[in-house]
Amino acid sequence: MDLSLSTRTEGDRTVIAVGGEIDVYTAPKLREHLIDLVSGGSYHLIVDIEGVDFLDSTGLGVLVGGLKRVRHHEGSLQLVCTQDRILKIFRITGLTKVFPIYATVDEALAAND
Amino acid sequence: MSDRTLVLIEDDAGDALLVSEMLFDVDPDLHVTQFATLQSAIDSWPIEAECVLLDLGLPDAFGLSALEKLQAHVPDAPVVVLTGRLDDASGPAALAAGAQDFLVKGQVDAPGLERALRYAVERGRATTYQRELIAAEVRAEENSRLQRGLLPSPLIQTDELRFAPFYRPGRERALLGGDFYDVVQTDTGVHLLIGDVSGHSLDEAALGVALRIAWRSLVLAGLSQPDVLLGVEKVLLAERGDDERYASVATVSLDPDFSTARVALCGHPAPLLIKADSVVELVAEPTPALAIAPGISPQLTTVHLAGDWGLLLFTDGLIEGSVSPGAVDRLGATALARHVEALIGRSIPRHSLASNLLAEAERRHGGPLPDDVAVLTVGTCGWWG
Repeated sequence: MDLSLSTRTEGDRTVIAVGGEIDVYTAPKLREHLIDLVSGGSYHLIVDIEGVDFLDSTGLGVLVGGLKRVRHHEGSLQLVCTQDRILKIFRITGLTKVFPIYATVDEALAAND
Repeated sequence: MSDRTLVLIEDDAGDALLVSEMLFDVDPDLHVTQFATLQSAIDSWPIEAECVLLDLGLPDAFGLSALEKLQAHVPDAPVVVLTGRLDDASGPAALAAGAQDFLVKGQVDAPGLERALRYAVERGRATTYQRELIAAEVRAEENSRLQRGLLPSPLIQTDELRFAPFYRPGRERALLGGDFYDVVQTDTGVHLLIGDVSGHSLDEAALGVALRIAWRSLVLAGLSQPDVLLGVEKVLLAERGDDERYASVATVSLDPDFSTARVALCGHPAPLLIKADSVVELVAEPTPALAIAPGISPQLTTVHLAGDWGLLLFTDGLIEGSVSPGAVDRLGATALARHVEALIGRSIPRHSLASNLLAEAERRHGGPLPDDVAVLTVGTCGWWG
């Protein structure tokens, strides 16, 4: 399965809706997209992974790399996800301690972190 | 046959025309690109040529030196040489030097020319396959060197515990990824490690070897379980070479009489504890995987192990397969625990527990699993049976 990406701007935030599978084969596409956004001056990212079916360790690595990149610019990377299957991966890997995770894009937009 | 190109390096316009006409007669689709000097041909490379027809009497290169110079620049193209005279020894010499064939000007007809070129192309392909085969063998050797580094012999003295390691690379590769495990005994007990470097290439495999050896060294040096992991994390941060790579790790330390286990989970699935016919996850407070949020000391969870028991340490490759072919839902640790219970119920030998679990995961997934799988099965002699 492929990875779909659609990006929009909401005030000072950039919302990236991701769909499909983020795995070793598709993760480079997401990585390049995040790098492009940060190079283009977007430092406050909301990555909406509600439409993601599968996330492997390479995909998690890309999100972690994205977080490091925006932090270099005092930016932020928020995640939107309610799927238990995906949230469990974040819990097991301890990433719930690293990423703020919200149930909806609106909640992420309303949050001040 | 179409869209094929032959490079003709020939300074004599008459000979060039003759060869082109002959080729047109037998194969009108063959496109001939002609150069009058060797240098102009080399300067024009890369050309998608099936074959090179090289005159050994060129103004800028003569005899075998023309062939050698061409091969130095274009090692992959099959070459057929053209010589001027029948008694010229340069034809056979060119064969010895790596040309696929030689033709004597004025002695060859159109079908003969076409056949010589066709054979040359086929032999050239065979040579390419041969080269690829050698490259694959070299990769396999590299792999086996890494495998020795990733999959060590347990460093233990006790005969009260039994071990069975298992490793299977993910689909589409004979390559190892970055899964690793280790077992070390010290005077404070027996220490178990399983881990997974994110990503799936030789780089990760090499990093996995480095982390395993770092862990082994720090355990042998007598550091506490949390401090060992902090040390391994420092090694990872120093060696990883990019910002994304991290490693999930689970360690279990058994006290000297194997009655308690202390579990640390750094972003890694919980090991399974098997006692009699029940299987439970050794859930511990998760710390982020190593190098994600550096410097967090992992919390230990203590588990009492009375009597006979088995432990199954595994990497997430084993539980990331689909629950059924094409399904979005993944197997997960809970279903894995049920599989283990079923296998224990059928008295499957302990040393083949892991391979049976993989077979079941692959059956449900509907084919080879995408990720590497490493499993370390450990148990008391009584449990092992």
